[in-house]
Amino acid sequence: MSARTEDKRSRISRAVPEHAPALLAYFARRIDPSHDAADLLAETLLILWKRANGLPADDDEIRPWMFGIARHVLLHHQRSSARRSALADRLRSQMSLVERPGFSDSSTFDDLHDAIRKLDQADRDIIGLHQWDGLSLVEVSRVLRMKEGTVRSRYHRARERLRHELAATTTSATLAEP
Amino acid sequence: MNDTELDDLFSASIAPLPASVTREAISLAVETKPPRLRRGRMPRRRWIIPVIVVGSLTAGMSLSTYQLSVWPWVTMPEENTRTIPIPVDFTTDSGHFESCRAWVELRNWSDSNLTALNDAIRTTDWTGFGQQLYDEGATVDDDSGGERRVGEALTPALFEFTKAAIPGVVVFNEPGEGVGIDAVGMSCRPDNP
Repeated sequence: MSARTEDKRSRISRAVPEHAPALLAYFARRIDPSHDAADLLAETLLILWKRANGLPADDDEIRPWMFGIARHVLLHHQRSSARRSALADRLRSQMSLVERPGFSDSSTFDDLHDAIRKLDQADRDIIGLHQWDGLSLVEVSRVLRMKEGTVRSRYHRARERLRHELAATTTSATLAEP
Repeated sequence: MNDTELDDLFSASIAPLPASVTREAISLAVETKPPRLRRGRMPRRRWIIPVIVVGSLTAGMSLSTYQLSVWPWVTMPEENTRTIPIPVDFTTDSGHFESCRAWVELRNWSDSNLTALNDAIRTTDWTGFGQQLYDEGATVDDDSGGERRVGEALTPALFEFTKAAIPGVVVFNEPGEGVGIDAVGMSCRPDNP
């Protein structure tokens, strides 16, 4: 085996387990019931291993590459496909014990979630990947295959909308207080 | 609300996954590593063939095209195999028609196992199967197309069907080294605009 192939093999072997929890959190925050995230993770892991030859040469590109694949798995799932895998059985059981995995006490943040739901899909993706999954805006642009500048401007516009929505909610809540 | 307050709100809104779940996710990553990679070799490079993405189907496509495209995107362990498709068609209470195809994925299979199961699928009259699953399935929130309702009812039905066709088959993580069901799944034809 060439040194280059060996290097790629060892990098993918490290990267997949390292990023698996982040991918699980990504799914858990976006699907309901959240324990289905276990199946989507299993699906994504199988694809990642299978596509080991396509692992980006640059380490900085690995995370967007993985999230890009995870996003496709999620989109396909949302297009009414379902798959239950034995591989994910144990993880699914564990996930079902956790209420809203990946999120803090939901009632406290209902307004935030409501405001995010009002954004269009692309803006929700940008906000979620950046704020929840910790990807930089450059990485987000790779995942969504959008221009960096477009992601930045959409991100700032989306934040502005969220601030506006949340300020309106706070004001109406304050006005409603006795 | 200023920018800092919004950032603080975002930070506070998420929580890390429990350590036990994180450990299990890492274990799953390790367990799914293909034998070939474990042996220190990279996956075989495959011929790239044109694949029709399910979501891009249009009303004019033939059924055979649709069937070919049902699950190319759903990967499985190299050593597993899938059955021929099982038709799952149903009409929801609101009159929405769904045409789906289900499958069973086997591990530790032999030609005779697969042949037995495929023969059973082929010789079964599936008329009304999907409708029965829908009619008897429990309602699921945010499931206007009924796929999740049918999907929930489908899993145990396919387990029973497979057990009848392959006596001794184990299901998911039941103990047993022989032939087992590793997954079941269903894909539905996308709605036409």
